[in-house]
Amino acid sequence: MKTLILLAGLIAATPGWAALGGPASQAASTTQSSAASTAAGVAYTDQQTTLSSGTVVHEYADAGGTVFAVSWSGPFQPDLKALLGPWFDVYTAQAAQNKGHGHARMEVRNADLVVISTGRMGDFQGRAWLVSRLPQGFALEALK
Amino acid sequence: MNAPPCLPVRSRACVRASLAMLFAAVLLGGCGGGSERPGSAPSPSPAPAPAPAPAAANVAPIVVDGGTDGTAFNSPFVSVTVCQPGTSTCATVDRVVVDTGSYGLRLAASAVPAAIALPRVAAPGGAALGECTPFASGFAWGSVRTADVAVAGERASAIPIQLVDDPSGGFGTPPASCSNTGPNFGVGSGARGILGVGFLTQDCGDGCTTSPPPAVYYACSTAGCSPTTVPLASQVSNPVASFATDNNGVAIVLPTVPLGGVVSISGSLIFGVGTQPNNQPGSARVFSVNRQGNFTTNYKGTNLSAFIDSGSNALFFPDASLPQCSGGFYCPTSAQQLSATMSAPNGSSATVDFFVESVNALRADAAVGHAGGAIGSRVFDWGLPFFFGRTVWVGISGSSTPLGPGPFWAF
Repeated sequence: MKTLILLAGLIAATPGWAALGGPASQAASTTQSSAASTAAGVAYTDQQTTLSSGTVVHEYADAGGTVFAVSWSGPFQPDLKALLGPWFDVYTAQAAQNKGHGHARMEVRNADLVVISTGRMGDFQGRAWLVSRLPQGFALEALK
Repeated sequence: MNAPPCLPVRSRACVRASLAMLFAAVLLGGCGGGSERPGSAPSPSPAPAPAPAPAAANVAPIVVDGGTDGTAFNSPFVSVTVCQPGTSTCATVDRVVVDTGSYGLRLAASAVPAAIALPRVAAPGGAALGECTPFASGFAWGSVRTADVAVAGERASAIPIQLVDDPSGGFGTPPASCSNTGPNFGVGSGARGILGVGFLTQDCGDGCTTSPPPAVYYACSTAGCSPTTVPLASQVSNPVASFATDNNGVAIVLPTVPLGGVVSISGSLIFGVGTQPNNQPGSARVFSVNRQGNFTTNYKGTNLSAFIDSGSNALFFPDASLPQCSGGFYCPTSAQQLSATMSAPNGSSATVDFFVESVNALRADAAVGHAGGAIGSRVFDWGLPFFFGRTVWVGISGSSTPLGPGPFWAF
């Protein structure tokens, strides 16, 4: 219950953003949405937002409007807490166990969540998805 | 409780756990299955071992070992001395990671004695300047201070550095907008600091001078911290660029490493490119970079965005055919000899042979080895194993060298 309330609060506080596993955000002026489909013919949407920092965020939502994956690229790290929603704490908790990776990469995988963050100051890229939520036939290469 | 999750690094705990599990024939999978050693390990020698550089004012010894607590893996360390500006009140901090993927000196506040009073750098409004340094692996939070920085016989006077996890002056807790960018990385496992000697002079550059990025530099007062712009002169900066001499770049020299790994290796961080008899680049091939600081690497037919990073503890590249163990490290059943072709905007190209062996195939006490790992689908990160048996040069942006103007890599 607490998690749900927190999630709702985050979405309300960050218009134009959707959290992984939550409902897709409403289109904002900096956002463009495009329809796509997987190799198996399952429809999904790719909503692209350019943040004021110059970093571009993509949110991938299934036909029911649930965000199953996000990706980002650009000069600065985005607000990952808003982007990953309740999964952010899972990410940081597991990342804390991954000591010694070096600076340019963090990869976290648990039963459902995958987060891959790479790059360095000035040039970051990252992707995160929920394994159980991927539409049938969805190729991870489609994440921009 | 389950068996402890095995870290991708060769932490002692993980090695012990995996051995115990093997002996007990209880393979829970956490450390990956096969721990076979390659039968007759070939000596990986993509390049001849460079001669050790003689001791000189522009040469800092590098050691690659387990670091302060044995958890570091493939981490090249040097010692760095920080002084109150213009004084001989100094402290030498060891186990500072040499990082060609970042810019500027960051020291754990706990590694700097309280007797060394480093002046705070002011934000444009006069408040104290803080930084949430973004790394892909997480952030480093702390105050920005002014220090004289000495490495080997070179000295940079009164440059901004970061004091990471500074408990004083209201910097004890990172602002929420900083924490929201990812894990709290600090200066990294087994290290007391990070010495960023990549090809830029300031860590943020023009991207932080006119409008404040959401979570990089902060103006901090008792009321809290808020994002701020920072002029170039106040940004944490690469000490090499501020040395009086030998300030146009660096070379990193490391020996070859046998398959199976080793406990430690020694090498050199050499300052200057073609400025002294001991730093002549000769016929090293120059690889320029694009606006993002990358060149191209083609691996198995796919072009990837590539960079060379001594702060990455493995070669990270996409290869779905290689089995992974926990944390995304590759764990092939036998050592793999692979190759990739680098090409740069200046037309340079080179095919580079490299080894990847399972982190579980390394000797139990290894802190150095030919490790590889996954990194998504678009990037080739030439981490520390690329440096084994090579001299790798970094040309600082805007400087002139016998190899041409920076920024560049050369080897």
